[in-house]
Amino acid sequence: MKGRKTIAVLTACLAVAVTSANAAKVEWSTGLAGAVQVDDSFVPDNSLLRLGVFDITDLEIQANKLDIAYLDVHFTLFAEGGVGDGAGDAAGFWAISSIGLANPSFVGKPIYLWVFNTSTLGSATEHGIFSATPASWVFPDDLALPPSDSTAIELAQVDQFVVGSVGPTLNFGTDAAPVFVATYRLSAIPEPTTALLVGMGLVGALAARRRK
Amino acid sequence: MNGRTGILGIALAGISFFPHNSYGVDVYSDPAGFITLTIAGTNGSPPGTTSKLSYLGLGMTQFVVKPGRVTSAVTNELVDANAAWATDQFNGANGPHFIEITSGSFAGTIDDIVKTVGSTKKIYTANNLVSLGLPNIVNQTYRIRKHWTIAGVFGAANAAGLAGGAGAASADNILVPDGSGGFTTFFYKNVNIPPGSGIGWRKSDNLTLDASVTKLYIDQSVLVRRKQASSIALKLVGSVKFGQTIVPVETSNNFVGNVYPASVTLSNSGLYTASSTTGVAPGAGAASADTVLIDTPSGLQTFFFKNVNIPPGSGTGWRRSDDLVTDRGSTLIPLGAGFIIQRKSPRPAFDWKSPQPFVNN
Repeated sequence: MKGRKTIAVLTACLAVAVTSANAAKVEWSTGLAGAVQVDDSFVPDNSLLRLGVFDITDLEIQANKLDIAYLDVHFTLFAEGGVGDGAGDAAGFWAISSIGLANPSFVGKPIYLWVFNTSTLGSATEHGIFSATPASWVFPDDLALPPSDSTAIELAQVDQFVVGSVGPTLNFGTDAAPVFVATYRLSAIPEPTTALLVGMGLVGALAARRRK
Repeated sequence: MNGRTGILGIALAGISFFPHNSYGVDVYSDPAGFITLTIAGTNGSPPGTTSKLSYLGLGMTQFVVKPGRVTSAVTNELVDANAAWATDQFNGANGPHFIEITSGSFAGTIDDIVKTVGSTKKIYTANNLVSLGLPNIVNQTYRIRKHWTIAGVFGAANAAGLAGGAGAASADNILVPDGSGGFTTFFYKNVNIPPGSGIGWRKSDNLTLDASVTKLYIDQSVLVRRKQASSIALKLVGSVKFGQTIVPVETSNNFVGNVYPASVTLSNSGLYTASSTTGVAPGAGAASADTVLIDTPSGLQTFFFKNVNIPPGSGTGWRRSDDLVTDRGSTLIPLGAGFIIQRKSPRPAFDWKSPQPFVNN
């Protein structure tokens, strides 16, 4: 079709980059699942969603799950979006397509989904970090042949609750024809003052121990 | 043939190779028929296989809705002074249409129609056909057809029987080439989750917007990723396309389809023309040459045109990447099959003139 030629011309420069260093493309959505807060209400519209890789282990992530700044340092962002994108602005749901043209180094690395309950990382009071064991949860090479089946992932596939937990299962159908939707619950992030108090308490405990 | 074998059934409905046009009264009939496309399931694959990819070629076209002759042309505006079409007849709510030039040296050139104006007897094409190399388009004949769409091929309510789901990851997928080497993924959404998002064909990153009218170009391959064990026989009823087809081949991976309801061999495909500006570039091996990837029961196999007799005695001609000696010119691109042309960078795009692989009778 001649119609494609225009596009090809416009993206010629881009295509050179793509062919020389293949990019990863991931289409991510919730599937038969939704994200909920600690109180089991859906994560609000426009809450921040981040897709990327961590350079620390799951155990290290869990050990530092209250230290967002530390986790952020060890996180490389592939793409981000907001709850409600591509899904009729429904709280708790999303569907996003992302192409990491700028950083082909993602290819082959495990995919992590980092979900917050506000639109910015700094203001969030809850977060969840999810992954999955299926091979599809690896950043694909979008020019690989045959095409990888990891171009599409869903929250419903998550089986690694690095931070967060399983939430309630909800029926979006009727009693006669139920449609069950799993939910994944975020985990609370202490307020800075709370975190500080926790830290001071630890210092106090250590000091008391020394005095003994 | 690993899920791509088409079975041709043609019911000739009165063939007229040249349209008759008498002041707006169009009399035209195409040979009608069907091919059966097989969407392979995972059954028979090695244990642990979770999905199976089928490369489909849309070997039939939609019926001609308007034949005619161009009487004047300026940039992307084509006039048929004898036409009697209505405004927006070939675009908008009537669905996407395309025009094919059917005479002259550029016969087989296809372009989208973006606008139709009844009062001026004009259609507007997506590209400036004159500047793209069709200076003699005036007086050439043309045919207008509706595009295939996802709903047209797979059924508005998924009559094909692909596995639906709440998202693309769990459902069977239709992968439509995006023109730059990648794909756009579609699936049949069979639950109204999230509430209000509806049921029907959807793009993977938009759960709400109806994607059933997404165009499927006849010269592109449509890939289907099946995640169920069973295979699907998909009947595609349409019209037989006559004449050569000009297929743009860009630098990168090109997912193209056999547009005819007949198999074609590499030798008679027209892909190798002895000029790398009009066909695939040859080479001593698959690493340097442009390559053609065809799906087989053993997976994708890579072919190229070998133009040097190295090592001595290995000859020249179509070869498979792992065998420099055996002639592969008779390798089939089956009817109903899609395949891949890898145009290696930095070679520029070219227009592949895909010849009609059968004789009119």
